[in-house]
Amino acid sequence: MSERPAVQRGLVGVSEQVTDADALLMVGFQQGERKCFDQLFHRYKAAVVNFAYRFTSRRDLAEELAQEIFVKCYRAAPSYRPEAKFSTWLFRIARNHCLNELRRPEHRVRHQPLHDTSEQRASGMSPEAQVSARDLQRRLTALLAALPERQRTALILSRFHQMSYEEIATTMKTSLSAVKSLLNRAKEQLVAALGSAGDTDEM
Amino acid sequence: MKCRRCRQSFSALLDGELSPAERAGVEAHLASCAACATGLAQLRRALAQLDQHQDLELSPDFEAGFQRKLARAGQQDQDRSSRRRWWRIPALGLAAAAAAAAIVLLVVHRDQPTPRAPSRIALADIALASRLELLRDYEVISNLDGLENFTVVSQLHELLEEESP
Repeated sequence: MSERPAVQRGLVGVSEQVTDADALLMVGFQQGERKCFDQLFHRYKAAVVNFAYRFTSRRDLAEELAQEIFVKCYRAAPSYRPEAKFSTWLFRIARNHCLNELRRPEHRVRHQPLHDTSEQRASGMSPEAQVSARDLQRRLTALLAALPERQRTALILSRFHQMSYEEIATTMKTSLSAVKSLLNRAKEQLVAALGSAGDTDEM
Repeated sequence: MKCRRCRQSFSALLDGELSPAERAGVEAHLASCAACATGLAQLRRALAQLDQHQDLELSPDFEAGFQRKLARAGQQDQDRSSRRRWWRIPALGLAAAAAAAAIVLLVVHRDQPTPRAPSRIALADIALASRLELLRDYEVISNLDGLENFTVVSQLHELLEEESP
């Protein structure tokens, strides 16, 4: 199956500069093709769920938040401009939604240690290795949760969504230098928390 | 390049976000500074550990949940829209009732008998002026129980003259 969406043929009012396949799908959806949105949904559903998971540290809420994020995208689609990269638009909505959720006085998010997927996936490991893997997942989740929100967002987008600094800046509506600074500080904290453990592992 | 500046570039160096010139400067410093080289190695290990943070696996009914939420949001939109319509209907009704009342008032007002024409008033005044003597006796007439005794009434001014000293 071709990566280029069917909507590229005969698009109305789309600049030739728009080469982002996702943006073209969004334009197709704006012009009434529901299946274009479905393609985007399937392409990004795992990414959005995992962004919500790492941002809120709650795997039990991640799917619900992601579903709400996609509902927002669906309804906000008329305001999307294809000059913007779809993923930056999507993750901006995702970040704002998760942030609103955390800020709600009665928010559903509780900061508690998680039971991560390693518990299900580690069945082939020795008991000691399972304990170690589970412990690492908890430490990493706690570490992400402890980061200030902007540092956490920048680190998640950079490390788990392979965004460039420029894309992160667009998503977070900030400057390139601010992104560099946020990532530097986030990684300093990461080294402070994991550095000694990493040294031990290598010995 | 100083150590501080070099360390501030580690993140961008590992993410491939340094310009060729910046990268060359950092690499030159690392070649001659063991402390910074160790710092970079620590960051590499920490990031490698972070990368082990595992993704969630989506539940099979994730898409169904999204479709339910989307349908609910659409229903809420419809409900809000209907509520607005219900507000609009009484408002229109009130406006129509007010307009109808205004029309009825105009029609009734138009059909009411107009005040007596000035010419009619003038004629009555002339007739009254010709019977000024009756006006003089009006006080007595108003005190009678009725006008049954027309003979008395017709001769009233004569009776009054007889009574006067």
